[in-house]
Order: sequence, then C-alpha cells, then structure tokens
Amino acid sequence: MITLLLAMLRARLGIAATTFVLTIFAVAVALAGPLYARAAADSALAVEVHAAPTVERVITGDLLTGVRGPAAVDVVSGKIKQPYIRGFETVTSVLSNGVLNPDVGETFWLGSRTGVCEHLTLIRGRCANADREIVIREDTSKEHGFDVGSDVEFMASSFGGGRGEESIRLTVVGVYQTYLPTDVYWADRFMLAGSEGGPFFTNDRTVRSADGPQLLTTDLIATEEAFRDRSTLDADIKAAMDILSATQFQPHTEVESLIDHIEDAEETLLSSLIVATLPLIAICWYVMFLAIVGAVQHRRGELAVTALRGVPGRLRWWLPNAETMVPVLAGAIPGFLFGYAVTAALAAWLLPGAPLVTPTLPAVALAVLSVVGALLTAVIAQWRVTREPVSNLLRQVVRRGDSNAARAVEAVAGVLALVAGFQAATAAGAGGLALLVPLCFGLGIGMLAGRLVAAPAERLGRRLIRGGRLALGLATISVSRRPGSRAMVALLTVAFGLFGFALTVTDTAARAWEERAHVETGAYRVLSIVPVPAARLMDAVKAVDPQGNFAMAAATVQLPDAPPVVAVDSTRLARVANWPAGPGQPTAAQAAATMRPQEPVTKLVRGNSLFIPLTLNNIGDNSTARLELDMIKPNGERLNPITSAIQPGTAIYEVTTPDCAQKACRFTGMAVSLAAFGRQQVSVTVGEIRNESGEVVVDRGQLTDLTGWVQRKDTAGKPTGDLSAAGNGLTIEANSPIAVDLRIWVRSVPEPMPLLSTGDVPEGFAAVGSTVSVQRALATPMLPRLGDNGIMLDLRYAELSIMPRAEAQRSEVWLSADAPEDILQRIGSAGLTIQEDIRESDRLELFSRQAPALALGFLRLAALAAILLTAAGLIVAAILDRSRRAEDLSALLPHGLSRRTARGSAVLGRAFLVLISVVAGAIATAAAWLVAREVVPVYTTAVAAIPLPTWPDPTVGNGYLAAFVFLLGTCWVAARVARREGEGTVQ
Amino acid sequence: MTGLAVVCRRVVHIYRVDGNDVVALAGVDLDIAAGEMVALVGPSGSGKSTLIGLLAGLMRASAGQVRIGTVDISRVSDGEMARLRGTELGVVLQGARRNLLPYATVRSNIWLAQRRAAKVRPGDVESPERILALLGLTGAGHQRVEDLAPGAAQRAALAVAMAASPGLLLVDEPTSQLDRAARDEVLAALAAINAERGTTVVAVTHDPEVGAKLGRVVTIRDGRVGAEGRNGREFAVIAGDGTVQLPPELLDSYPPGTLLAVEHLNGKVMLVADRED
Repeated sequence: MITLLLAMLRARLGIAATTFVLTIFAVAVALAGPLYARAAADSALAVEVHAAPTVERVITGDLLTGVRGPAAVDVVSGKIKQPYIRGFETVTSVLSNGVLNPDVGETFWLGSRTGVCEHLTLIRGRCANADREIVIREDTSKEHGFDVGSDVEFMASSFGGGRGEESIRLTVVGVYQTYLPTDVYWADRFMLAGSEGGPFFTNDRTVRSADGPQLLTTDLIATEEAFRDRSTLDADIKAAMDILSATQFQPHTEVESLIDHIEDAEETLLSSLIVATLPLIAICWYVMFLAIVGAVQHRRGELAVTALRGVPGRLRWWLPNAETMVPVLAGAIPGFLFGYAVTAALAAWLLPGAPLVTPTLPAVALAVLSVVGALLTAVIAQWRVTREPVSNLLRQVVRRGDSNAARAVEAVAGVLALVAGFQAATAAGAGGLALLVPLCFGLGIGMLAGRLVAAPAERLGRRLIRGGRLALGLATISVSRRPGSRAMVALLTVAFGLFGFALTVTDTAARAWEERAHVETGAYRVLSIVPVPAARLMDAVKAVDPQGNFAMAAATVQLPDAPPVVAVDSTRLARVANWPAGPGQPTAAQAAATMRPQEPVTKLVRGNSLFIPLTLNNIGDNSTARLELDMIKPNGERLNPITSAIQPGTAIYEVTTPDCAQKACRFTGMAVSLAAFGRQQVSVTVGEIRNESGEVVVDRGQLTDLTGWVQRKDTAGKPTGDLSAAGNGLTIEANSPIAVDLRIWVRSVPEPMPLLSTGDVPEGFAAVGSTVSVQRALATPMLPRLGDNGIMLDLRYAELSIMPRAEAQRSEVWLSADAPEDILQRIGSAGLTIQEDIRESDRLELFSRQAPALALGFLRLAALAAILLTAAGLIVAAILDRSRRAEDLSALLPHGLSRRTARGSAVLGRAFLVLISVVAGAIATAAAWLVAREVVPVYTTAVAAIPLPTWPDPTVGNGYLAAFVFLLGTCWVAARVARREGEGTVQ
Repeated sequence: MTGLAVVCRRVVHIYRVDGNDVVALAGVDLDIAAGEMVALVGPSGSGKSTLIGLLAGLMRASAGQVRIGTVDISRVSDGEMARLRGTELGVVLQGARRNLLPYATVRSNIWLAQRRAAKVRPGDVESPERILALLGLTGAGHQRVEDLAPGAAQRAALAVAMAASPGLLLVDEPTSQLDRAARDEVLAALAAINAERGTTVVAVTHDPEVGAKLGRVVTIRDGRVGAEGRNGREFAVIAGDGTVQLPPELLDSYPPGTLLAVEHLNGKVMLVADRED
C-alpha cells in the first residue's frame, strides 16, 4: 500500500504540494495567533505597568511616630520585618519636617530612603553616607547659598507647625539635580515629589536623631515581574497589607486597579488574537477543500478502477484520503516551526520590548486542531466521491447544478452565518467572538451573492453573446456555470470582508487614539510644574509669553464630590489649547468668553506698612478683637498681617507688609479676629487704609460699597457678621451666642462663578471653610484634557475664589506647537520647576503600544494574509481548471472562437468573480462594522473619553481598492496558469 | 476457481434519457456454460455493452433475471456486488488504461485488485508473478502502466481482472485499437485463461475474427439475442417468449408486418409468407 501511496503522491505532486503548503499555513496561523497573543500580552503588561499612575503601582504604609506607639521604633531599628512580595521592591523612608536655624522662611523635609543615592543625580559633591551628612536640591542650594561643605542647622517641628526644642547640625556633602517626581520610586509622596525646596537626604540615624515626630513610610513598588504570575498576587498583597496594619502602619494601595488593567489587556489580546486567527485557518481549510474537490474530480476514473475491482470499502476510502492526509500530516511539523519562526519575527519586529515567544498549551492545541481540521477537510472533500457507485464514477460526468435541497442548505447556511455573526457581535464583550463577525457576515453575504448573481449573469451572458460580444458574454456566463464559482465568490467575499473590516477598525481606532491624545493631552505639549500658587504660575507664564501666543497657565483641581476640574487662563485658551471639534461643540473663543465674562476686580496694595483706622464701637466683656488682612504677595503666596488688639475708640493701627514694598500685593479680604468668651459681640469700623507714604490704598468708596464684598453663606449654625456702610468706612459687627464668621472677601468674580461643563455641576464647590457657588454657563460635549467628563473654569477666577482655599492642585503650562525651542529654559528662568514634559505624540505612542493596538495590528496582518491566501486559492483553482478549460477552448476554437476572445473570457470570468465579491465584501464590511463596532477592542478599559468615529475615513477605500486591484492581477495570472496546458492541447 | 455459468432470462434494461425511455435490452435470453468462451457481437447500439454492464453488475436490469453461478445479481445488494466483483467477476472495460492506475506498477495494480480476495479467501490468492506469467507478462510487474505498450497494457488489464482468480471474465472490446500482433497476444492470453483456469470468458467485440477465435458468437440485435454462430454455422435463436429474429438480410424482402405461416413438418420449421400476389 505504501508503494501505491507513494506512486499516487508522485503522480499528483502539485496537489500534494498545495495541500502540504496550505497545511503549513493553517498550522502556522493556528500557532501564531495564541503565541503572538501571549507575547503581546507580555509586552502589553510591561506597557500597562509603566503607563500606570504611581498610585496603582505601590502599596504604601504610613506611620507617624509619637502618635501610634512604639512599634515604629522597632520598624526603624529592624526588629519588625518589612513586608515583601515577589516582584515588588520594598522601599522605606524616615522623614522629619522642620525649619532651618536661622529660619529662611521655608520648611524642609529631612529624610532617608532606601537606595536614594541610586536615584539622585549629583551635580556637585557626593551622596550622604555618614551621620549628619546631607545632600540638597540644586534650587535650594542656589536660593539659600548652601553648597558642598556648608553647615546648616535643622530644627524639627511637629507636623502641626510647632518647633522642636533642639536643632541638629548637618553638613552639605552634595547637591542633586531636581528629579522627576513622577518616577515611581518616589511613590507619589508629596514630601518627596512635590515639596518646595526638595528634601534633604541623609541616613536613618541622622533623621532619627532629630527631635520631634517622624513619618515612617514603607512603599512596596511593583515592577512588571510582579504581574507575570498573578496566581498568588492577590493573597500576597493582602498579606502585605495585613503586615503593615499589624505594625500600625496605615496601608493603602490601588494595585488592584492595575491588575484589572493588565488582565483586561491580556483578555483582550488572548481572545481577540486567537479569534482573529480562526478566519485564516478557515480560509486555509477552504482553499484546501477547493483544491481537493477539484483534484478529486480528476481522479474519478481511478476511483472507479478501485470500485470495479471490488476493493474493500475501508481500503477504497483510505487510498484517496491517505493521499491527502499524508501531505497534511507532513505539513504539521514544518507548519509548527514556520509558525513559531514567523511569530518570533513578528514579536521582535512589532511588539514593544520584543518579548520572548514560548510555545503555550493553547497554541499547540489550536495547531493540533488545525491539523485535525485539515484532515477532516480532506475527508469531507472526498466523502461523496468515495461513496459513489462505480457506474457513476465510470461515467466521469460531474453533476452540474444543484438539487433544491442543496440550494436550500446553502441558503440556510448563508442566513445562519449572518445570524451567528449578529449574535457574536451582540453577545460578546470587547474583542473576542465579535471579531468573528466579519467572517460570518462575509461567508453569509458571499454565499447569498454567489447564489443571487447566477441567474442574472446567465441572462446577461446570453444577451451579450447574441449581441456579438463573445468575450464578455462567455465570461459572464462562466460566473453562473463554472463549477466552484459560488465557492470562490464566498471565499473572495470573506477575504474582502475581513480586509475591509480590518482597515475600518484600524482607521477608526487610530483616529480615536489621535483624537483622544489630542484632547486628553490638552495642548500640543504640557509641562507639569512643581506646584506653585496660581498667581505666580500665571505671572511666570506671562513673563515667558507676554502676548499669549503659545503658552497658557493651567491647573487641575480635584474637589470633593465634583467631576475633574481644570482651570485655564482663558485669555490664552483659543491660541494654545487643543480645542475639540465636533457637533454641539462651542468654539474656544466662545468658551473663553463664557468662563471670563468680565475682568476680575483686584485691589492692589503697595507699601512697606499699612495704616488702618479702626473704630471699636462695641465689644463684649473679656473679648479681644484684631483685624487680619488677607493678601496675596507678588509671588503668589498668602500674606495675613494682623493688627494688635483693637482698643475702644478710634485709632490708627499699623501692620507691616515688607513683601509689598517693591511690588504691589493683592488685597483679597479681611476678617475681624475675635477672641471672646461667651457671647460673640463686636462692632468694628474699618476706615481708609493708607501706606507709609500716606497714599490711600483702600479708599472709603471701596469699603462702603457693600456689593463689593463676599461673605460665607449665612447659616443658623454658623452665622456671618453684619456689614454696614458707616460714615468713615465699613462696619463689621456681630452679636450672637455662637461663633460668628467675620471674614469678608473682595468680590473679584461674578457669583455664581460661570463655568463650562460636560454634564451637571454641583451648586457650589466646597472649599476649606467656604463654598463657592457656581453655575454651568455653557454646556459642551468635550473639554480639553477631560474628555467628556469634567468642568473647565477660568484660572484667574478660580485663583481668586477657590484656589486660596483649595486643598490640592497640579500646576501646568500648556504649550502650542509653535512654542520656541528654548521654552524649557525660559520656563525655568521664570522660576518654575518642570517636573514632566508630555507631548501629544507621547500619549499617542502609548496607545500604540497598548493591548488593543497590538490586537488590531495583528488583525490587520491577518486580513492581509487572508487576501494573500485567497489569491493563492485563485491560482490553485486555475491549476485544477487547466484541463477543463483546455477542453472548453478546444471545443470552441474550431467553431471560430478566436484565441484572443477565449483568453479574454478566461481573465474576465475570474475578474467578474472578484468584482462581485468586492461589492459583496464592502456590504459585509459595512454590516459587520455597524453591528460590531461597539465591541471592537480600542481601549483596554472602559474610559469616559472620546467616542469612536462612526465611519472610517474615505481614504480607507484606497487600501480596499488596492486589494481589489491585487486580486484582479491575480485573476490575470490565474488565467495564464490555466491556459498554459490548454494551449498545448488545442494547437 | 472454476468457471461460472451465466444465465439471462428475459432481461430488459431501460435507460431514461432527457425524460424519454430508451429500451437497450428488450428481453435477452442467454445461457453460457461454465468454462465457455463467448463473443458478444452486434452493431453499435444493439445493447451488447449494456448486457456486459449488467453481467458486471455496473447497472441493474429493469426486469428479468441475470444469474452468475448460483447468484441472481439483479437482486444482490451493492455490498454483495462489490464482493462478487472482488472475487468472482473479472471485468475489463473498453480501453486498457481505464482499467489500471496509470502511475502505479503492474504489480501494484494486481495487488490492489486482490484485496477483496485476500480478505475473503486468502488461500486462493495467487502471486502476481504467476498471473503475469499466465498473461505473458513475465518480468513486467515492476513496469508502470503508463510505460507499457498497448498490447501489454491490454494484457495487464486482463491480468488485473484475473488477479482474484474469478470464475467469470467479462471483457469489453479486448482487441480494439491493437495491431494484429498485439491482438493475437491478447487472444492467446484469453485462451490461456480459459484453458488453464477454466474461467468463463465473455467478450464484447466488433471483430468477427475475434468472435471466431472464441468459438461461440452471440449476436445481439435490437436488444435481443438475434443469432448465434457455432462452428462456422449461423443459427437463429428462439427467445424465451418464443420469438425468433430473422437474419437482417431477409428483412428487406419481408418488411415488418409481413404475415408468415409457421409450418412444422418432419422436424423442420417452415415460415411461409402469405403473399397475395
């Protein structure tokens, strides 16, 4: 039998080679999908970990010594073991807050941190090793004149502000460069990442020698290795948190969120890529099926011989099947190796980090399944012929035309494919089965198209032949009569459907990413600045760009119970920000005008001392009243000069304001500070305020215009003072059994404050000690940086009304694309310290490395491979058509059909199949896109941001057209292939 | 395996072509004794190939009985028919190469044809060499069919048909498109088969010389046994329904519709035409 089998294989080497090659492709594709998915998941894991915010990468534990008992000492001394998780780096710190002696007007952190020297770039000196040695930041060195060798005295204070009793003497041994505070090593700790002046780094013993309470921190910082094997990660994290709690540390982590991201990315990739390979495997099987079905028709005579000899059924079945199974089995191992090599090459070429490709069980299982599928394909392709009676086989006549049952089965299969596609799209989540929709739709629509065009093609062909257009007529008729035409239309439609869908998805995803990067970055380039007061930020930006052409100050603010808020200098918004476009979107100019309807009112005060005439009209027993001014220094810091106790009667009180001597300070408000036991009773009249030159800085008119002042909302539980205009000024009075809020602020901005919002806004923003009423003045679908969820307001308004009282803010400078090249130096010269420099392209690049981009990249390659495989299918069909076409030609040539016409009809016949399929494929693409676009994996996690574009860019049609032209070219080649033998016989 | 007798009783076969019924065999009665050699001759379309197709089990008779040995093959199942073809029936179709796998060697073709017999009665399976020797193809077993000369190919086809040592050998046009030498070799091979194995041989042929060599010549005409020649003499044959076909040359003188009086006198049957003139 082996001899016979070898003889059969030798005799039909072409079909054996075709089966062998198709098996190699099927196995390679089956293996490549899961392998690439695994490698892509590894790559995406690294990307997700590095892109994650610090809070999602660390487990933090804080302990304030002196507050929570002696355990802390044990921790510092090493008596208590620190938690450890595989893949996490455990970093501990000891931090003490204090001032220098003599005081330089700033507080500093003195701290130690595990491995800090490796994370500092020293520009002078060396790192601190010995006791009492410190390294300081370059700006501190510059500002205060400390350098290597300088001695400083550090006096620890309580975290509430009280000073310790003893100072320690420290020696500066090095000056370090300002580091990137967003580096995960700093664990987002504001004392390390955001403190003004930067921490002094030393060793543990030195910090512990400082008097006063100390903050102990333990940070477990995750590396990507931590997430490779997640089987015990949850338990490990819980154990670490328990250890921190047991040692009285306050633990906190959002690592679970990162784990969710990673698992989401992995699931997207594994499900999407495995599913994306299925159409390719199916196409390989289908082309193989066409090849075997075509080949088996050529061997009907041989099968008749075996039947005629009464060869037992099993052998009769085995012989033809073995002939196709041998190349299938022979192709398995080379296919495996080829698939592995291709995946390794793709991973090295396409995947960030070029992860190693290692065979996995699902990959091997799918490869084996593809071999089994190929074997079954071979069996099914020959099933009918191996069971046909010998008389049918002897006749060698292939039955043309289908029975009604066959037609019904095909129609039902087409409809089922469509239904299955629809179900896959609606039942599945993002990615996964939804990616089978183009295959199902392509198959269903392809089968229906092949069926529907047959009759019209027949009629048209006859008409064309009657009209003397023989080449066209014969070609058109061949569409309906040529065996396998419908199968070829289905195959081509599937390929076009897959390709069109891949083009559509990748185009819309790319545009979505571009749009998202454009909007979410906020501007072409955004510099994150070490936090400074908003006024200082705006002044610095103004110094850098006086005209407002390319730079804009901005700040993000997180307020309790409010959507994310970004405050911008709206006068520069239109020129600098990436203002989103779209339906219902106001212009940037409209937005700016809405946010800042009028220039804010500011009262500027200049003078080394201020003289305030105060009249104490009334005061309760045992009570003392002072007047405290609320001012903003030129550098944006707050200034609260306070008078001495106000005495009954009228007198002029002096407060010193040296910070306002050179440049004017802004007068923002004042408060009567009442120290009262019992009833709150006071009445103070504030008169015109003058400076040392006698110049009026706050005049009577301003004082007595009651509409120019703002008070906190008056409530029964917390009443506010009464204001009245007196002859010589403004009277503030209170008479209440409970504490009265006697603060008043200059009304700088309209109330309620106008803002832009993508949705509902609260009535007011809660701030420390106050609530600022706000109202949505303009609704907008999108906002720069915030996407479709957030609030935007004017930075100047915010600074005047909210920020002095806001808890946290992040300072930024937004830059347009035409910012000068030396902008970073200019910003630095203006006194701002840049923490991070983010460009729109960085964000876009991040999207391109994340799981969906990797999945869609593979989908695109798979679609391209589908087109190539389909082209191979056309060629295979042409090879099998050789003798039949030759007979057709030989039958018609003697009747006067010119060779040219015959050749033309051969090319056109195939081209018509491609033409029908390209239309059907476009319909399948559109249908699949309409149904499945919601579940296409574009982002790993559901983000409230930029919606996907509804339709792809028309330029997508170019790629589709290229595929069409390529397959038309293949038709020409196929016609030549089919003709080569035919010409030999007719001549 | 000794020869098998063949009995056909009122065999009718009707084809259906384009919605019309075409009667190919209209009641064939034929008896072939075991070990006999018979040539079926007749004009094209007379039904001789249909008859051999029925004997080979390639098609089923529309009516009547076809018995080979003791088996009525018009009633057996497809599986049983396949068994018969693999063991007791050797069939050679017209065109030697249609009977062979062209790319395989002669030996492989014989091996394949012996599979059923090897399963059913392994003791009776002869070695390919012996079969080849019988057909005068000694040493040709390793040759591929496509490399054989036409005469050798025809004998190779006979060898394959004889591979399972069948009791009945059915051959369709064994000598067509062969030169005289090759024809003689094939006829010699058929004679050897019959002589050495006692195999019943039924051959369809157009060649009167082939018929003469086989001994008994049965002429099929219009779907019936029209005549039979034995030992150089031509006989009309009485069919099962009592009909007798006149020799074709008489039909011009006695067109259809002519009335004949049948007179049986002294052991002779006389047909007397009723002519008014």
